[in-house]
Amino acid sequence: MIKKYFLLLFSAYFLALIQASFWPHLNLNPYFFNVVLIGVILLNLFERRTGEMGFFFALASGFFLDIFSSFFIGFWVLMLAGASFFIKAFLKKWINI
Amino acid sequence: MRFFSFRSFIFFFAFLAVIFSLNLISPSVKNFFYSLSFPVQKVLWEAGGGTAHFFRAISRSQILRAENSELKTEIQKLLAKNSELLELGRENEVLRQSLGIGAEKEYKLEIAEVISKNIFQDSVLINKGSAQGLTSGSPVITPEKVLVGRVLEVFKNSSEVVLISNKDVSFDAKTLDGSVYGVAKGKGNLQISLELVPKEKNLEKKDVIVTASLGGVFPANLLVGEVEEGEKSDTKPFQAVKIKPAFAENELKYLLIITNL
Repeated sequence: MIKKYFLLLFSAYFLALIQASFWPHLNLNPYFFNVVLIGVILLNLFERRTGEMGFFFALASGFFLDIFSSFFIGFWVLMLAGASFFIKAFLKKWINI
Repeated sequence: MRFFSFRSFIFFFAFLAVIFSLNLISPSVKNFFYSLSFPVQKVLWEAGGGTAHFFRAISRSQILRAENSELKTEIQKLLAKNSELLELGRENEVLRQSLGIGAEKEYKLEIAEVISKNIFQDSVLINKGSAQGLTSGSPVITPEKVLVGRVLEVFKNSSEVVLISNKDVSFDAKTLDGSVYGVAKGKGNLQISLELVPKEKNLEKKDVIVTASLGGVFPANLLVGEVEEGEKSDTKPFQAVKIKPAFAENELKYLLIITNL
């Protein structure tokens, strides 16, 4: 279980590095083609409803995204945590998964 | 509607409290992660540049052929002009010596590597900081003397360089021949415009724009870019022109920071 969390933490860090150092060369809009955001959305979409790994991944990703952006630390943590919560709420209420 | 246990909520709010308290020591935290990530970011930055270059070459092969032909012609013209300028330079030096005027100020330069770009703004991260003597506000240029931006925030081993296309950057600029002056303003997303240009002045496409030292933001005569298109209006007293920056953001690798301005 702890190994899974470490793996998620490392994945979040690596995705943030890719977003900061590899992705800018491709000239894609960072608000729509954000590797980290896509990872958070996919993990939360395909995880089982009661799972918490997606939420943990959102927190870790948000922290590393804050490190590599000019916003205050906590900005992307809140945004991605909100996205994770919204996805789970949407799946529960409308899709009934 | 419960997705998470009570324990998870406690963990979440405790995590948030720790995260927000890190803002008090944010420069140290960021510097720690930047120093840790340098080797990997350097590899990723170069890999990204190579990948983008590969796909760009495929999509622009026709355009590149035409550009290549134009550039060859321009090189011939510039070589001819260069020999005239060398002669003028020699005459200038002789005159300076005979009049007792000192040499132009020598700039002290610190070289740094670009390792990442700020995801949401026009700024890049370089691998030199206060430990190497960098200070906030120092101008940053490429080895080809093209203006890139200035140092915004300095950490111990890294610094954030804000590009001249950043919305918070503006500086005095002029045409190469000095006939037209204006204010260059960053518009974000690698776009710059030259504003407050008198309406009666004519600016042609591909006119070269360089820095003027009127405002003291950047040294004079650093290459900024070339004119792309203009916006003239009969009702406005000034015109604005769009400038194509002379640097290519995704080809930035080494930068020079002027440290003794």
